Amino acid sequence: MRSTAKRIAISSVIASALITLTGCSQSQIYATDKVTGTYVAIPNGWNKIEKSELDKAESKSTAPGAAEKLANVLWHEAYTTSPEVTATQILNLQAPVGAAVYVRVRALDFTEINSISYNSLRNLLVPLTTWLDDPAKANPKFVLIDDYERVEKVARGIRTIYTFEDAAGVSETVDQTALLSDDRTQVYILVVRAKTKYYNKHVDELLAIGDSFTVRGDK
Amino acid sequence: MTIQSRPRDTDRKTRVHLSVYDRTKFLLLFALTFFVLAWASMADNPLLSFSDALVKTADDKVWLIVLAGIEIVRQIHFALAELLAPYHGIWLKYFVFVNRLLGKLSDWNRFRLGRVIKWLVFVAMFSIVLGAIYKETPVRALFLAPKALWSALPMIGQLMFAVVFVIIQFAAIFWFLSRGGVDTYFPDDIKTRFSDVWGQDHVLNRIRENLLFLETPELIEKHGGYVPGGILLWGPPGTGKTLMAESMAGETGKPFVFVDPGAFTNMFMGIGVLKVKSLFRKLRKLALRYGGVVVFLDEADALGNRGISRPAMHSGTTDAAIFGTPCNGGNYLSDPGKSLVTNATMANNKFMMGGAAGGGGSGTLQALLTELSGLKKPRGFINRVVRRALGMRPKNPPKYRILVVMATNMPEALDEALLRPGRIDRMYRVGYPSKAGRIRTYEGYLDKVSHSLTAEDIDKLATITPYATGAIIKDTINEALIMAIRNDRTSITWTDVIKAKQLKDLGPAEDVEYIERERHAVAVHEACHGVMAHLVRQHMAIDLATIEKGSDYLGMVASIPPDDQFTRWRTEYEADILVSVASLAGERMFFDGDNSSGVSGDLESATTIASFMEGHWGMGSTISSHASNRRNEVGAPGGNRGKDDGTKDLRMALGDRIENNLATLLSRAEEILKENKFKVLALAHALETHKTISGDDVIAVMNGEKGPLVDGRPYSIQSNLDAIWNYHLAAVVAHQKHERPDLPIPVFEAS
Repeated sequence: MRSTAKRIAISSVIASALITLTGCSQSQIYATDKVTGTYVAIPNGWNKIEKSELDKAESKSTAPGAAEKLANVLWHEAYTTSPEVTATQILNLQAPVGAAVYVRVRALDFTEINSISYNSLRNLLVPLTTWLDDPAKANPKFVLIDDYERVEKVARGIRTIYTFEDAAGVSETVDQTALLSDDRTQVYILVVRAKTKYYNKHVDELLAIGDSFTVRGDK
Repeated sequence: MTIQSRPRDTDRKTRVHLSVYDRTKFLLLFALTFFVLAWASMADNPLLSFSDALVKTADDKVWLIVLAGIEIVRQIHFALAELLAPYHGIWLKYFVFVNRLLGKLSDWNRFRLGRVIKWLVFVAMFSIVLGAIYKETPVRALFLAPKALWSALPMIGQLMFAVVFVIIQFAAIFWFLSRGGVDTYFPDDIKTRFSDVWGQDHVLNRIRENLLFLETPELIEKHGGYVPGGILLWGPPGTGKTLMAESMAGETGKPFVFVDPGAFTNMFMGIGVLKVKSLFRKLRKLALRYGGVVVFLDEADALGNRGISRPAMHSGTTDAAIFGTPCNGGNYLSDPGKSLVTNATMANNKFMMGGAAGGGGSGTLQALLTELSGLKKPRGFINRVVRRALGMRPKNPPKYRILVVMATNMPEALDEALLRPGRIDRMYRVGYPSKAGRIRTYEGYLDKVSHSLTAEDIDKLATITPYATGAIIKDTINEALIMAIRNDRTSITWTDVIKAKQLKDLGPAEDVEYIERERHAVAVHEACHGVMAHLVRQHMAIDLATIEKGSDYLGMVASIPPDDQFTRWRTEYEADILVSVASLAGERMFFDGDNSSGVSGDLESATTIASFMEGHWGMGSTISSHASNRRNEVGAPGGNRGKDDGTKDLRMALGDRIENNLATLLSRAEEILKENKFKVLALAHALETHKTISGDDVIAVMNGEKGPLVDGRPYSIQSNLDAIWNYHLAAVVAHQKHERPDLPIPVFEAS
């Protein structure tokens, strides 16, 4: 009888373990593109902005070459702490409500392949190198917090964290990682943005997002 | 109180308890699959933590959880059926048809069906896992697997080479070491036939019968019998066992495999086992191809045993070790008598022959036992592996017609398990040839050389060589031929054969010249044996008498039985003892009560025979067997020494009774010798004169006739006997004073 009870107990443990797992949820959101081998972990509870919305917002851009760039986008997703943030807000530099994460993988055209550099990666959103070279031309609230090289398995580039004042005069902190594939054909971009006040309050959580950005490349 | 047995399945009210393995195997399989899939998720996403991977897998593979749930429900159902009889009863009542359906399948089909289902489940799970790895559907992933295997082949090949290379080295070494020692002969390779084996017709007839059964096994099998598969030929060396085997090879129409005695003795452990397996593989192959095979293991005692000593069937001890006395005191005994004394002496000295573990060792014997009569296993790679893999029942092994013949002169050294029926079905003693066999053997070997022996001579030769084996006869004839050639002749004469026989029996003389008084003493000693043997021992004939010193004797009187006799009688043993103690009686009588140490061997022989007569053979004053008394620890008749009543003799201790018997026989010997003292001195004179004389010469001296070598007629003349007596007295004085005799040995003219 004891051995029967023991066997039933073993079976129950295995069964309950399996059943328990079905009721749990993951601790993070894993934004993943298996084609390009790009991964980033987002805290649970953030809102995802679908690719179709991002495509739609970007297609409205009137900037020169915007259509070509959109055509070269291989994968992009966005996540925000606030459901109020729209795709358009993700793609402009206006400080979002709460925090926003935008991850993007884009193929480079022939001109870009020949001209891209670490500085051009730094100048992805704002002319950082100009601001650094000539403080007179710099944004009034520009502060460079960190700037270092990141090397991934199939790509390398620059992670830069800085603060500046957006068009509405709100201080915004940006944690941008721009990596260039080793064959110089693709860029992998991760931008984590928030109002500086919000950023400072959730700095660990937001830094962890930047830290999780991983590029393994196409398998 | 009745013995409680474990209930039969049909008697149970509850379901039979499942083992832990059966209880958990599917859950473990599902758990394993689950973890493999979780591992695949983690490999797919470097950011995924283990806990998140488990959760993700549980979300993605709900079907796995469902299967696990079904399995759990099933196990709960089983557990309830095991614990609750009513539940089990209800279940049986409504679902017994399932068991009936399954029961209609044969065990083998159920096994095959079960295996197919298990394989399908395995393939399904495997394809799911592959699908997770390849990011494909399970079916597509299953077809991608061979591609992956193909691309991995170079690496697998390298690994396999590394492993196989080492294995091949070992296998090659052991393969080479396990070669040799086994020779195969095919019909007509060997010319020897049964007609070339002489003097062993009774054994040959039996062997012929075995070969007949091998050729036509239906003769016995259709009547429900089986063909005897093993023969042991045992007997003294040189009796033709190997020749018999050779003739079997010549007679049979089947292949014949000779196994060398040393084939299973190896430097490394395990080689013997490999050799045995290799040998029997070969035998099975030959048996199938040719419908039968004969294998002969010569000197089978080389196989050894596992330490269990068999009771001796035949003593292999040399007499020299026992009769190492100056007189070679056992030589005038018959061979059974000698054998008796030898065995008894060996037993006293705690000397064991054979029986020791040895031979191939390291499992060789066990491997042989298994091959001779082990499990009837399915054999062959295709039969055992391929057929089974294809779900086909292996074929039963065919009947291998293998006749195993072993030969040994030390059957006591063989393992008991080897000799049991089923392995060795028949044991034939290849003993000393009968007289007719010896005659046939002499004729056979003499036919090969030129000789002048008549049929009567050959008959007589066979008579005086009662224990001659084929090998001894062959050697004697060859020695006679050498003697003839040495004398510039090419034809063998009777004298050559007799001299060759003496040379073989006694060994070459040492050409030692005794001093006169010692020569006379040795001659008198042997003459006492000779006269006594001539007068009282009718069951033996004197073969020769000699005072030429050999390697381990000073002189001897050798006797032979004139007929093949298989029983012995009290009067014969008494005569043996009289002949033995004649030396002591004679020495004391002729040398004024003095006697030499040369009688020690004689007394040992006499005492041993007297002991057996008194204690074993019912030839003494008591009936009970001393052997039985000693074995059963009941004590021998004896004790109450002081009691003086009518049964005093019967109550004497065994040793006392033996001593009394010997003393009585010694007195008889003294009387006989006293009555025949001149005959003793006459025979001693003949021995001193001629050194070695034949049995016919001894008779000639006794009867005063002319013998082949010695003219006995002068010994019937009283003046000659007086001269011999005077010479003897002079020799006795010389013996007492340790000086040369005053008188020379008398010389008589041949009349």
